[in-house]
Amino acid sequence: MVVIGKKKYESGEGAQFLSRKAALKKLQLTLKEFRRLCILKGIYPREPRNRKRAQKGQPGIKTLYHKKDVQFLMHEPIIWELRKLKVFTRKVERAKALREFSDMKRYLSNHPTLKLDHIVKERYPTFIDALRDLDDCLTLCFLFSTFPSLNHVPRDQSLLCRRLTVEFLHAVITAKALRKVFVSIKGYYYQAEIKGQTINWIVPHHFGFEPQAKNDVDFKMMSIFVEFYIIMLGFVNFRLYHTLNLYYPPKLTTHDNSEKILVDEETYVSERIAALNVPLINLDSTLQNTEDEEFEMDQFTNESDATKLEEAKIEANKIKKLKTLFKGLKVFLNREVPREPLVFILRCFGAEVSWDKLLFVGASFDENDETITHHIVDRPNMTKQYISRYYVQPQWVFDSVNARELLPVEKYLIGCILPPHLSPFSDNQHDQTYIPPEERALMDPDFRLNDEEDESEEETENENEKEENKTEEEDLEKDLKEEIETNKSDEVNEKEQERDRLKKKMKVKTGEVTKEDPWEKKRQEKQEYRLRERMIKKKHRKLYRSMMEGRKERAKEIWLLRKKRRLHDTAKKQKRKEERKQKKIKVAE
Amino acid sequence: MKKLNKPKRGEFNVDLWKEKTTKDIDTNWLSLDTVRHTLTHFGVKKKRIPISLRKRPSNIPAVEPPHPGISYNPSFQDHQNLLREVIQKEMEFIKEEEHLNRVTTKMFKKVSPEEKENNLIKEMSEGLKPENDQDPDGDEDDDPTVKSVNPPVKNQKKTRVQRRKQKEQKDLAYKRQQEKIEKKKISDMYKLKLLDRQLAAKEKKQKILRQKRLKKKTLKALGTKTLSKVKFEPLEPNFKLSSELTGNLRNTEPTNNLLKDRFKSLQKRNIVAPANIRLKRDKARVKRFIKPDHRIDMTKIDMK
Repeated sequence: MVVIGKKKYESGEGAQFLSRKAALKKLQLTLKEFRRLCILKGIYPREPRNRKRAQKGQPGIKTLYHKKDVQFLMHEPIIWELRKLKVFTRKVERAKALREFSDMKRYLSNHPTLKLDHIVKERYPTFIDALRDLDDCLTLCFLFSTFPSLNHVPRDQSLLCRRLTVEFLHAVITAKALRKVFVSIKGYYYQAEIKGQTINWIVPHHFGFEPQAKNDVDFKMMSIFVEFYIIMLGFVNFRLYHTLNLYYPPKLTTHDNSEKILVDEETYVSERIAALNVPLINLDSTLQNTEDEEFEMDQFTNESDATKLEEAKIEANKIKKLKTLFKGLKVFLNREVPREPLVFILRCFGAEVSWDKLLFVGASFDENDETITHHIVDRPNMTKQYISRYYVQPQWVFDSVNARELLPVEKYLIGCILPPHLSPFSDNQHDQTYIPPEERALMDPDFRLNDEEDESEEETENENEKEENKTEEEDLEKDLKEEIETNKSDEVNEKEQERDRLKKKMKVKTGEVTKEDPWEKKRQEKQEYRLRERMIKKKHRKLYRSMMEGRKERAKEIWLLRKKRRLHDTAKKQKRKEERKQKKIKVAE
Repeated sequence: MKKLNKPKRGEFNVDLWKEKTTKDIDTNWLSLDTVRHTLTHFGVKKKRIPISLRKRPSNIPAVEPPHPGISYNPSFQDHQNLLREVIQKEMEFIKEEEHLNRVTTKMFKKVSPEEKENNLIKEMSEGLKPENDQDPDGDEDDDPTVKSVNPPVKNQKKTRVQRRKQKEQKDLAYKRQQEKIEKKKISDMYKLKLLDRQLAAKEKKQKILRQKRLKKKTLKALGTKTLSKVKFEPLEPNFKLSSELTGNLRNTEPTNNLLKDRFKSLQKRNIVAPANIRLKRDKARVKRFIKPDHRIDMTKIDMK
């Protein structure tokens, strides 16, 4: 007998998902190849809404893929390449086993390579899409650029990573796109803004390679990710360079013949580029950098709020200032300072940088150059110091970038205990919280502490007191003189005044602008606000009320703490004053 | 020549995102299906790409903003906050461990091996006669007739009267039930307001539940999904104790392994399914040997 009706799992969630094993069977690939394909194509496993149904009633948890995703993979031409690769390895193995080394060599020299260009285009249809997904790419590429050749990692991969990341850094330097830096115990956090997209990446601290624990990370899988990201970064670099009006495999402006003899040209150039210290050649020298052109912000935006527009304007101004932050500075890096991050940051904002000639190629001036303005040092003291320059610790550079202005160097001088390095990534929404003035001075460079002013004030106060006494006497004399003069002229004036009054009546006056009473206006606004408050729906009223109460409470707390501080400060000031007085008395005695 | 033409890794000389002109067809005003149809006929095939490819598998950013306390030279407050968080996590972990210990290991009595042996012997010999004391007249029955525990079933037939009465009772019960329903219908008409209220209450409850479910769903979308049978374990937070902080860049040591951090991040963002990494081969290696009759022994060959 035939069962009439639908079978289970032929429609709905049961039909939408495939287990990994089923997907392998459908694609006729091995697990290894399937994994690689999925990573390259950006197909990830899915979590179903109802697992039991999606797994067709099977118990346990299985890795599931969407059926449509698998069908999409089926059309990928790379599958054929993967199959070819399988054949290739079999051939090589066979030749090796038969000890036919010439054949083996021939096969190996004809190694099939996967071409991933179309996948990059497919996954990122526009350049902006690619930029948006650059975080992962950059972090992994920077990480892999520090690795030596390892098992599971293709031999040229780390070298290629190094090349591409340095090229990217160059692009950031010329575009002046860096915005934030943060030095953590994990590594350097950077934030750049390219085409309106914020890109964050982490660069590990420069230390010797530490071998990885084997059971922690799937090395092979990570290297497949990198395999894709390399291609992506290459194309992003190409595009970036061309928008910045630069040659894409980058070219240098200077060619010193003396150094050129030492090494072959390619390594010379690549080392120089890795030094990050020289500007690259422009594609079209008649065109100046397009990025430099100032563009004004649109006055008309759909945001009606004027304050927001104002904020945006201020932000844009700050960024414009940031771009030329270190312009005109000549910085020398001591040898214990991490060279690459500092050169990158300093060059991003227009400084000239150099280092010890023996340390790395590309040094542009020596330590004994008198025009050097800043010397970056990370050791407690130095034997030989020049008077013409500041010896600062590297944190000065990071903090200046985050503060978006050149910070005073006093706190960062050689051997000083540094102020804390704060994170620019944590949004400092210190709305309605009490911040003691010391902390505020750390965060906000514009804010000045009262203490410094106080002392100077106190000194001037004493002087003022003396002056006041003098001026009072002078005032009295002046008043007396004026009174005498006025009495004489009073009688003559009366007649003239009346004529003037009559004249004024006939005069046509210019219209006066009616002044708005600010108090009245405020009252009106307050009333409107109250009316608006009344309009709040009953549903939200309680929430609103509790919100407002909370706000009031917090404001009160801040007020209280401020008052306490003020009282404390005045008490301290009074004490200091008395002490000073007593001292004076003592001196006088 | 063929080798020269082969694509080389690391050679980028095209702008991938340059607009390509599609042979004189303005596709701006055509519907998607029409575009697909016409393009295939113009020799330009256009694949339909699943929408999921455009979406990110998770809302978690690739590079999460760092905690201010992990600065190499953090402010005191930030550092304390970080340490507090770490301690809180550790305490939770310890609590969970203790709970599991209490619920599993500590729940059972500890038994020494000798005691265990004794218990086993005792258990196994339950119901057996001890060997040393033999009672000859203990259990033996002399009665030859054996009685079953369950008596045999008899098939007793009902009389016709009994059947009729049974039927009448059944009909009556049905009739009564029907009457009750009719009665309820009439009484319900006077209870319309109450019913309305009940329905409204039920609807309200459902609405609240629906909102709750939606909230839960949105929350779940932010987190990590279960993609495989291996549970995702987040990276332990990295931190330095105050004694380890040096305050300058020269003496800072990196704490954690950035590769592991990236790996866990991929797992967290639902890109990679967590899995146990196998280091040893499951399959036995094939042992290679030469068959004895194929082996050539050089000592036995005479070189003349």
